[in-house]
Amino acid sequence: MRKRLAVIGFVCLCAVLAGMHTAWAARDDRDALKKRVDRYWAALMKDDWAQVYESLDPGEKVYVSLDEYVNSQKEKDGFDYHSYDIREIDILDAFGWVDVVFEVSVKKYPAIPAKTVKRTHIWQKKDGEWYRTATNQLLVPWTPPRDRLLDEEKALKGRAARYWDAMVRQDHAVLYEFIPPDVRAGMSMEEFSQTKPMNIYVSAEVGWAEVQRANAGHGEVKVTISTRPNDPHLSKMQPEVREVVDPWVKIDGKWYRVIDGKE
Amino acid sequence: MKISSRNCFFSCVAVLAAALILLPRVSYASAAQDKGDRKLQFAISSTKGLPEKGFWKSVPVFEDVNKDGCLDLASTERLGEGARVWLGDCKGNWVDSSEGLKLPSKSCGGGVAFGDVNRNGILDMVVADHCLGIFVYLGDGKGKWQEVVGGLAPEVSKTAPSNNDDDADDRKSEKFLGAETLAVADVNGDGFVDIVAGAADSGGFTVYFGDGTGKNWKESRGDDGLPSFQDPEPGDLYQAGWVNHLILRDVNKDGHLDVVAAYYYGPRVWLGDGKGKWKLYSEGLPTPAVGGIFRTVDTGDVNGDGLMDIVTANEVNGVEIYLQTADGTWDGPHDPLPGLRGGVRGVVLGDLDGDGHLDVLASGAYEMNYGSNFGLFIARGNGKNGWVEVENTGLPRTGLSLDWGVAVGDVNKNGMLDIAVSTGGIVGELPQWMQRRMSAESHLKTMPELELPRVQVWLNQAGKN
Repeated sequence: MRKRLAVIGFVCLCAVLAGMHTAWAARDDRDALKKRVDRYWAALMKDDWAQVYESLDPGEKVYVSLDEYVNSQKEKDGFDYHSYDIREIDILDAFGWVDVVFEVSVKKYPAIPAKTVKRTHIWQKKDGEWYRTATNQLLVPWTPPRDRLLDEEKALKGRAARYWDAMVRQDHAVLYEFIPPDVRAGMSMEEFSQTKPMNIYVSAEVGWAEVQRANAGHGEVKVTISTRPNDPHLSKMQPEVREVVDPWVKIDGKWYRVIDGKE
Repeated sequence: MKISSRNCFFSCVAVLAAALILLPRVSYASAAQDKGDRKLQFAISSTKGLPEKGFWKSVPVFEDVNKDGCLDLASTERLGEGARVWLGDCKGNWVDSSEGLKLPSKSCGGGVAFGDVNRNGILDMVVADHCLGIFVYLGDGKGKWQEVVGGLAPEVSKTAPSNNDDDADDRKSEKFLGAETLAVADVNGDGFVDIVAGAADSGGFTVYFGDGTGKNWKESRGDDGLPSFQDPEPGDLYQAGWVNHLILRDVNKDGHLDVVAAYYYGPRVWLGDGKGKWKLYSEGLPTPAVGGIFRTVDTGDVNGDGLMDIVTANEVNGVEIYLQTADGTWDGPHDPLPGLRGGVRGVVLGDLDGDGHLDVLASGAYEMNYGSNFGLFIARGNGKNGWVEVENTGLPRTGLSLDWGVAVGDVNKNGMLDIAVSTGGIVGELPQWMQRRMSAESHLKTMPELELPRVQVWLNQAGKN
């Protein structure tokens, strides 16, 4: 009996220690990100472009050398940052959402008073270090995880993957099922099959799905698509690779792709 | 899905059968079959006198302006002073002869044409400018020019937009002012040279009838049969758009000039009746999903059936040939340069190798890349719509800045057709780091520009072999 209790105790202790380790690691991660963000903002306020460059995604730095970046920022920089305040940090996997409030004014027009701006910036952890992602990158949803329904996002992402797979294969029967019921009511399967798509989808890869807590009946899905026009006179056109964010709607517990803004 | 050997066998039989059916229509003759093959070799002419810089946004034109028996050359420029003429000496040397051609403000490129508009036996010049409209210059036969008409534009361009009009944007005069291309000839049989102009933005085609002075031009009414603001092509929701290039040819051999155009809707033909009226003759010609992809056109009998065929430059898919059929429709597209993947902007037909069959000369991009990625390409014709791409011609396959059109003519009087090309665009001028990034992200290269004039002439050496 004593032996059994000892084993149970040991297991419990391990579980507690593991949980504490995770919590400590998360706190370390958070602290590391906060330090990094502090350095970044301090550099922005001092126009220390070399330090700002240090915080940029290594993928970006491949294309822009330190000198080129510093020189181009000196030429085009149009803002003075007067203060900043990091409000919240949310971390999920290798991404961090940082809510920051800052005061900014336009250098060229000093007479115009500074404005207070609130933004969420996304940072990414690579090889143990945090970097600010480029604003044009859609690596993760803009909304921090605390404001999203993560399980619902998983379900939506799976459904979107089926939809885009059917789109690449031009499987009209499957695609028809993804049209919202009210739109489907006005168009038979035969009619839908006869519509000639404007584009040929060469490939499609679903990236992420976002369902916000405050708007649980709607979702967005990021897809990287490769398309070219469905026209024989444009058949040599190189497929264009684009990232799109698709709107989806949940009706009677099922996700449908929004067609032309109609839900 | 597994592919069984049986399926594979049937697929191979089907492909072979299809090939046998198609072979008589489009035969890509092998090099071995191309007997009497003269080596096609080109060398750059003297570069002295030709422009080193500039955006020569125009199909170049060869013409013996001063009647010395040697071809001269003309083109017009974007963000420049207007059209330029270079006099040739039959040896490949060029002397600028553009006095009097300067436009009142910055030019935007367009097209040039020569004709004796005042019936004095001397060639005059008519210039289409993308922004400013049409300009008529009388020539003195020695290479000097006098402007007699400036900013000629359709009447609709003078209609002021109404602020209360919902369609005000579509009626703004600027949209109808510019001319992108033109051709000159007597199209109504009165003995005077007329102008057929294509819009730079909106308005389709406008015909101006001349009175033999060069100074007075009467605009044809909207019911002439060519699409214009008043009578766009059926189904055209944009009230006739722009025309990238047009030529006047007798396509149906009835003795009257017809309009052949790279219209924004697609390549098109309108038959002329010799009295200034036109009739659409374009069944079988395409209307692609994207407007304006056809840049230039030319005509010639490429399959030896006695009917005039069309060759056109598709900016995406490359050269497209449409064969005229006996029942008055067009059969195509046929691609004489299927290996070309980066699109074509200039195209012209000519017997470049002197074998009696028309060949295709195209300016475009062999593959997609950034920068000065354009070159010159030749498909040798066998007179039966069979084509072989000719390599190692001495012509640049890349390294030309954006190309705007090509022309052929015997510059050095050796009996062989030589080549002119107009180039120049805002390529290769991005910061280095941005070029690196663009190239890396798309796995494309940024091609540097060759040190050549922006308007250049390539001399055909075939006659020397």
